[in-house]
Amino acid sequence: MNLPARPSGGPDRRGYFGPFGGRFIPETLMTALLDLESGYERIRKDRSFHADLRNLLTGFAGRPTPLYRADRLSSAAGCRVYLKREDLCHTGAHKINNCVGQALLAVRLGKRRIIAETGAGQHGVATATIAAKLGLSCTIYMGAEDVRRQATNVFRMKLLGATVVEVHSGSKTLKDAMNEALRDWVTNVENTYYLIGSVAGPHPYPMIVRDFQSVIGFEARRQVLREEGRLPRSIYACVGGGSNAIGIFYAFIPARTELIGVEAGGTGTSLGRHSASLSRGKPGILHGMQTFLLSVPTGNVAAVHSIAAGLDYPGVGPEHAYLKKMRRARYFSVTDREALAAFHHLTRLEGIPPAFESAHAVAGFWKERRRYRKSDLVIVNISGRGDKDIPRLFENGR
Amino acid sequence: MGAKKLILYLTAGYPDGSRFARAASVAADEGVDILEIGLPFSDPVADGPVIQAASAVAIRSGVTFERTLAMSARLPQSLPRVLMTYANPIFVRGWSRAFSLARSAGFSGAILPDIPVEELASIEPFRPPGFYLVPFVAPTTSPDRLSRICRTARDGAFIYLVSLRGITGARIGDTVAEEVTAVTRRIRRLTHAPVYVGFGIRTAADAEKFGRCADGVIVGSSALAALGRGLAPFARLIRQMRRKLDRLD
Ligand SMILES: Cc1ncc(COP(=O)(O)O)c(C=O)c1O
Repeated sequence: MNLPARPSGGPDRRGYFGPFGGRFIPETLMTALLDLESGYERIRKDRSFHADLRNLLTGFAGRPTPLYRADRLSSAAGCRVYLKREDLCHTGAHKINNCVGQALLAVRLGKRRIIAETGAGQHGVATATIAAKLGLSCTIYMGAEDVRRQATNVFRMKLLGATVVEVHSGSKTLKDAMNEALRDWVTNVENTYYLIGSVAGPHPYPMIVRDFQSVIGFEARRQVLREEGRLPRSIYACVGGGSNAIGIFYAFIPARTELIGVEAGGTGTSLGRHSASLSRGKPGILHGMQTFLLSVPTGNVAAVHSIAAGLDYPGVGPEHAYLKKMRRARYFSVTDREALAAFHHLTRLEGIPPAFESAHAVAGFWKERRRYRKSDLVIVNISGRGDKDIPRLFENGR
Repeated sequence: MGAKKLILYLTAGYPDGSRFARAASVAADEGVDILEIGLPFSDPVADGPVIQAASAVAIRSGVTFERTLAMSARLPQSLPRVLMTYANPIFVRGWSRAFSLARSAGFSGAILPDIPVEELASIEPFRPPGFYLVPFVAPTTSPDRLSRICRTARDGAFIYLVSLRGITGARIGDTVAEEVTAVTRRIRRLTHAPVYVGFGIRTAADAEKFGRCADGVIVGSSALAALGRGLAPFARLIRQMRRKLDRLD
């Protein structure tokens, strides 16, 4: 449960994964980013940090999470399917892995105030949770549209002592929450730690978040070798900003396992109806990084849509852009409807209701199930549990 | 005209095309030295509520890169102007092509608040001759980075000194002027480029205070807010600022 000893592919010193990444951020934040980078390099070598991290990941976050052989799904699909159970993490999603790591880092950097953006509310809840545990003050930015869609998560954050700021600018969703968090950080940079929730943003965030999430893949690798004595043929994960996907991919990059990211295809292929930045976007610059972006020809960022609030983001982490360019990973999208069908499918077959986000990974696998033979091993990352989405289904059912 | 410069920011096409053009000519008449024309971007992370709202209005009314250039080309040749926007609207057109088009439309340079000096270095090769890129200095800039930033102020570029930790239109604290004076002094040892202070300068009194610290002041949110109320209050604000700055030397 350690940080990866040596990053295998990037980023380079300037924070680039090939042509993607970088630090496109106001000057006011540069010193904070450089401090973060050097602080992170220090803790990477710090044994007591690793001990604290290990303690929190086991006792608090609930790691390691099981790699579970899904027999009924396997026989329905015609191959051997394992689920990586991030849905069993404390707070209900993989987000806590990153939050625990970064919050410990914040404390080492002497920052007692934490801010974060959130879409579905999962990252906000995970941040508020670790802030409560470590006694840090916590402010969460959330788009007004998402506040409406994910009301119980707003309540949870408040129970945990966080201040939730509703963001009314732009599209009132995740990207606008991130804009507002950046504005807060520029204003309070000296006492505030910005705890970004995905492998997005300016360098060094994509690297730091990847390292903290890579525990998913290193565990899965050990577990699958123990169970099966071989590595899987494929891994499926959903991609919003890309943290659960890179988290499970990273340990397998040197191997021959096929890495497959599933994006949100929403309700159609035209701009504004989906949030499939890797499958349908073009290179662009947003939130501190050069990456694949959904933008209109003027250069303004496009509206995006997904049934899964956590995937509703017009950009994607720069390392995914690089993995796509290098053809080390493959990305495609599934629609809202396919994700919903997969939600019901997994719930009925395995008794595991996945988060709508994770249902995209399940749907992506299901769509491609005929590619596999009976003996093929496939891992699907269940990044979170569906509890937060069940009220939506309940309302729609009425 | 006084030696202290007055730089005015306007969002292209705000409140609408014709009032923008009239505001620009009022600005020229009232002695604005450089007009900073904002090409609105959907996600302006360095901007406060006033410029965010103006940008949203302009985007909704169809202001694009091409239309911003056309608006600039119609302004009097004698009024120096710089293009202010974010990285993406330039990046998607290709740095080199976008900068050349901007220069042809009368812009002498560009201000890109989400491009720090580290990234500026890789864009620099795409800059056409005689078209400058404005480097930013913030109160948080460390000494080693300061000298690197100052070295990039070339071809007539000024240094954009961000007065405070924050976004445009923020409230300026009491200690900011001292800090700005100190940073300006450090910049002067490193470059001859003029230093203009921006962010949070709202009133003629602010202009006077910060004009004293540096070579000039940049006014954005408060001018846009005045323009939202009408051309008369807008003209009055600029005139008062100009008068205060002129009395400084
Ligand atoms: C359960 C779950 N999965 C996936 C995501 C998408 O984020 P990422 O692509 O960074 O894993 C979210 C975001 O909120 C989430 O809550």
